[in-house]
Amino acid sequence: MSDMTETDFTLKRRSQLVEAIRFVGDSWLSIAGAGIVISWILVAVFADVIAPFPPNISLLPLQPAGTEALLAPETRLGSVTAGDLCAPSGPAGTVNCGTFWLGTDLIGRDVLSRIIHGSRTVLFYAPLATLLAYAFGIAFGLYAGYRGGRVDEVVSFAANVVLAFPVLVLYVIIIARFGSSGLNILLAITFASAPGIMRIVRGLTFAERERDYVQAAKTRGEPVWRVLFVEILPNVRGPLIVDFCVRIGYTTMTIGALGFLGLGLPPPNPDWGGMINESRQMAMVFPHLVIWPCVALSSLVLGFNLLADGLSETAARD
Amino acid sequence: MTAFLSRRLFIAMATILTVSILLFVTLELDAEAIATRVLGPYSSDEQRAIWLERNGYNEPLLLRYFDWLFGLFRGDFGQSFIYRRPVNEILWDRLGNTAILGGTALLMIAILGLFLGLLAGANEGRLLDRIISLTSVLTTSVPEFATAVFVSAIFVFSLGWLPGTSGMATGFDIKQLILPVMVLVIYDFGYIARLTRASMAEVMRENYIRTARLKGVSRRGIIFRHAMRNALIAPYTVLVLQINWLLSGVIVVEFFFAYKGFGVLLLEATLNQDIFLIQACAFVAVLAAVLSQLVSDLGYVLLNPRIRVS
Repeated sequence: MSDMTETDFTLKRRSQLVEAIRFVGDSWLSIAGAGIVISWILVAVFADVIAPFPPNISLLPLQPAGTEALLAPETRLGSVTAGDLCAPSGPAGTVNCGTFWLGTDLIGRDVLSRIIHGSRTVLFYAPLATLLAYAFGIAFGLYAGYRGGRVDEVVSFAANVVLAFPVLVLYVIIIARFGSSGLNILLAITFASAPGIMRIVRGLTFAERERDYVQAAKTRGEPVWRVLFVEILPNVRGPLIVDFCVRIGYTTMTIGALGFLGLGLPPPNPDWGGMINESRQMAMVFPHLVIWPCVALSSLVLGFNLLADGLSETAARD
Repeated sequence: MTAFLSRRLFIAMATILTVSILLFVTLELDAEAIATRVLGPYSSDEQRAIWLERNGYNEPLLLRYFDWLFGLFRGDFGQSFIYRRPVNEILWDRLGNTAILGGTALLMIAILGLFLGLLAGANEGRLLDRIISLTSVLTTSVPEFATAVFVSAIFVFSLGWLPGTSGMATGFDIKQLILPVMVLVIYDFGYIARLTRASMAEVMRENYIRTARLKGVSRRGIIFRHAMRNALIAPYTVLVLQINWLLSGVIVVEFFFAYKGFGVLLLEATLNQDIFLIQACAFVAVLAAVLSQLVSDLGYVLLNPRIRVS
């Protein structure tokens, strides 16, 4: 008997996955969006393999795009030297290590490798920050929407106060006050986005709490947390998934903007916004330094937005 | 209607008060740090003690808060450390500059966003709608600083038509305003266009539109006389709320183009821990945001007969 339920369960799981894929595949927009996002995830996962150079090592300063990397044999590339790794076909005293496809930055680091490795930073912080914000937003939203009355008024008012701040004003103040580190960026984003999520969840819960299945669960004597997270949450997930995609794109932009304003993650690890900020002054002479990180960031955000658009289109049709 | 508005007004005032408490707690609680910031790191302990005494920092906390709060409402924001001048002398000029930038941008966003949104919504599902919708997703996906890089690459570096910085060193120059406004508009019009499109498309599916069509009203008549007024309620309220967004958008744009506005002032203030300047900027920003929320609510009530009458 227990064997049966297990098979049932895996079957159900599998069909849910198939359903999800079918749902995404139903709209060209979401296919394109998912394609972009998945490509960037692959780039981030295999950054070490794809990137032609280590991201933080100075090679030759200010190479224009496309120049061959002629390095002194003793230049260290990560744990090995250029002489061990590259073909000795360069002019006297150098070895040829390949091509700087997008050139190098102000201190001679390969731009392409930095963009590839920078995807890790963004794809780590943006989803994590959004998930954290969702954890708080969902918890408060469900509770406020379910309880209503005084509790709801207090939570909603607190959310209104945070939302009254122009977003970037809030980030700038928090990060300038508490310092810019990965953790502080996560906390600042959670603090600023959770209220918006809470409002959405609260509204959805409000509509849901009078439904029969909630009343039934209450009558069965289920504890409040179970009613909220096991009964109500799965029934309101549709709009939340779309909002999650939009928000993750927005968070990606915000992290970029903070890096651009010089409030982002501390150097030297590559971060797209920070790369733009570092070489902004040189944009007139070396536009490749700022344009490529911008293209990378915009394409990722576009991926998330297209995915969200496609999903909501499919949802509206069904 | 009065009940709705007075409730909104009450919430707005409560919000502003709460924000003031938050600002006070985060920035003013540590009086010692302020004294050090004002007098410099090499000031002696006695000097700091005297300064604290003279400026009323030894009073009870609650008294200090109310004193500070009344100062804010009288427009007495204290001295800026980096400029060594009263905050008042700097802030209003900068706010004026930002108002010019943000106001122009908002106007263009409204015109472009509403127009394209109505156009797409009235032609739902057709090619024109697809093109407008896709363009809107594309432009809203590019963050402001990236748009700034792209438009500078085109209009400054390649074509050489426009100046790359907007410092207005030699007085007001409309040419220097074009790129910053362009960046804000490119980023935000898509959002308004998408919203207007959705609203318009919904209205076009309503029964009274079908009735009008069956009565033989021309397509133009349907769009302009029947659909548009209902379709614009939602975008209008959101449009006013864009003031809140613009206040953060201008930080990036002003920083990029070195435009002497409120956003850069706030950024300078925070980077230099210029406490009184941060307070003033944050307070003014929240005030503007809360007021725009009120205007948006008021407009919603006035535009929506169902609420106006009840």
